[in-house]
Amino acid sequence: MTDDQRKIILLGPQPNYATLKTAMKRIDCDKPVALITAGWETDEPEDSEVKQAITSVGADCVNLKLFARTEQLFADDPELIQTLQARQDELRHLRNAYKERLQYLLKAARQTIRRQETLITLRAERESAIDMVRQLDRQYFVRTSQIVDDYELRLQTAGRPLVVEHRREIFEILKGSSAILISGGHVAIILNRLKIFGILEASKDLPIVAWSGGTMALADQVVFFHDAPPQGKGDPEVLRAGIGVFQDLLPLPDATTRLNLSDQARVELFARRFDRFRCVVFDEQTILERCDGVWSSVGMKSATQLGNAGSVVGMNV
Amino acid sequence: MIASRVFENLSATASSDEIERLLSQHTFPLVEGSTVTFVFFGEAESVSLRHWIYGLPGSLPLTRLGKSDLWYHSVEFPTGSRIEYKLGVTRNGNEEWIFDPLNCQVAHDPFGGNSVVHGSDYIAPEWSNEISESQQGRLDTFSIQSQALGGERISRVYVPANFRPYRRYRLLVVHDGNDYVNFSRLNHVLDNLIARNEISPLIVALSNPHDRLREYANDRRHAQHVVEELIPELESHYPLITTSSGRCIMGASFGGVAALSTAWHYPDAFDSMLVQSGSFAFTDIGQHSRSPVFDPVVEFMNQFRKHPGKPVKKAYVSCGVYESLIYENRSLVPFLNSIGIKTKFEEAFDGHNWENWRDRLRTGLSWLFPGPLWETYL
Repeated sequence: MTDDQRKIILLGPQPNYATLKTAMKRIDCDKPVALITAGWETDEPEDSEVKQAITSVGADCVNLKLFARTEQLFADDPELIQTLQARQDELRHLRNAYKERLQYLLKAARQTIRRQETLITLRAERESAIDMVRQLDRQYFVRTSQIVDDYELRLQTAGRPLVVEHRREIFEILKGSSAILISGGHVAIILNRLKIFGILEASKDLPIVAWSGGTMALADQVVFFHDAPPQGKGDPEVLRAGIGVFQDLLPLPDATTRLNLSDQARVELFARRFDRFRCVVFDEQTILERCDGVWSSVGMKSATQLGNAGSVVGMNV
Repeated sequence: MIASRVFENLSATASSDEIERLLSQHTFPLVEGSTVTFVFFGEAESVSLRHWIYGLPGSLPLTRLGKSDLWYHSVEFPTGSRIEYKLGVTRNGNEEWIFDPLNCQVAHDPFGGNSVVHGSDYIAPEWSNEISESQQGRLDTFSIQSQALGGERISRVYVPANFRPYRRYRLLVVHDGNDYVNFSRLNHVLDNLIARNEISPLIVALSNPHDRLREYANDRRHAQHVVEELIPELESHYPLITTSSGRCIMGASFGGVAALSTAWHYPDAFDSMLVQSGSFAFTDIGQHSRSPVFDPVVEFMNQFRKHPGKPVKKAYVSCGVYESLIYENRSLVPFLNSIGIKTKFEEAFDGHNWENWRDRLRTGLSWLFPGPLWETYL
């Protein structure tokens, strides 16, 4: 089975796991499900509530403990953590430069959008302003991917003896699992753990249910966003490549809280900047399912996405 | 002459029906753009607006409409202003300061409180409310015998929701802790900002003075109490980061002076400082013109300006534009930066009061205790 055919269910934030329960009923859980709560970092073991939700729909559950495994790996394989830290330093420098350039390009693009000019020449200026943001994003995406790949060449993660041991254990658990569940949390941590342990490669035939930050880690690109953070400018920024289980969606968990969806110019710029994706709003009630490569909205509320005209529109599934 | 459009259209000979209609059709004080009209209706010999806005006369007389019992006065304020006030009503030759009977909005403080009017564009922060979705931290009572100050000292300790004994938390020591909880809703602010990942979970010591003006005005015994008694005792009860990198000290007004002077006396004790409307009076030459309670403060600030050292690495400073202390606080910022303290400064169209300090907490706390909001999607 290729990743395109794998069954995927994507959800928004899960304060009481209501939609997770609904989603669980849509997969065949004759065997336990493998749970990943690495995004909760040190709270990874605090999984009693989610386990209760899973068992309430008749499924068993095993936590893969990817965060704890990585902590152990870092302690036992200092070269791994040192190299990853060096990678982080390099990525951080690049990110600072990207953000500096990004703020000016976004400011210019926002201003041209807000002007609402009708003159054809100025419309072209607006297109060009947005395209410059896209170009910067693309350039940054390529550079970060290169850095990650270069370090991976040095690290050879999959072949490191301690990693091999963990991967073998995880593979055994996944062989006896009916699905993978990935919680929200710190997106970069989820992403790194999924990669270190090769979770997706080891489970090609298993359905995935992911929510919030977990959905972001699975996307082709990870984009951070918040229109009004207490510090900083709130400019949406590309982090780097995600796992890439799907290429056509950019999940925006909790977008109704994090984004000012009534600000037409901001919504328009977001949607058009990332126009190669459908920028999907994931709130508590959203359930998006991909079966045989086709997405459908199966939640109580129809899924919505950011529209190029600056408003939130029904998702084109 | 600043005029309200509503009152401009009201004739001096308006009938009691017209006045009643006016009173029932509007809320008061009347906010029309940047013009705020304060209104009193009732028998009086004179009525005045009593406020604490530095730069305006402390008493602004309301004008009587003709021979009616309606009194009013309009003032121009920048948008986003928040103004606390009382009305001085004189009857039988005696002036009494009262809450505005036409305005149910009250800001409480240790002295009782004031009426409050929100200028246009001012929005009370929703993150300061008790929000059911935000899990609540707990408030422990914490008592220690102080050798430095003599006698028992009772503080409260805010412990965040989802507290984990195996974690190590940063510590924030707050002066006037009870007032911050009662009048600035500090506990709810912490609950909400932590729940939203805007700040990282932290433990907060809410300390309280016995003799505030003495202890907080650069009293070395106070600094000793905080650093040598309170913090070690807290570290033995709570899982705290036990180096300066995990500690911040905070206070408002004289509490701000106490925060700075404690950090100055113990330069290796705190990493950061959050001070609001600090009473940082100083002199370049001659005597100060403030009340005598400022004597030790001025002495301390002059000393600090001469020999600053580096009490903390990072600071957040805020002050209201309507306070006389705005000049001292503004001048403190480049000074702190010049001695290598990374400082964020914020000013607001507000006065020396607990709601001003409440409204600035999000920026201050998220600057000093940044949470994983940007990267975390729960």
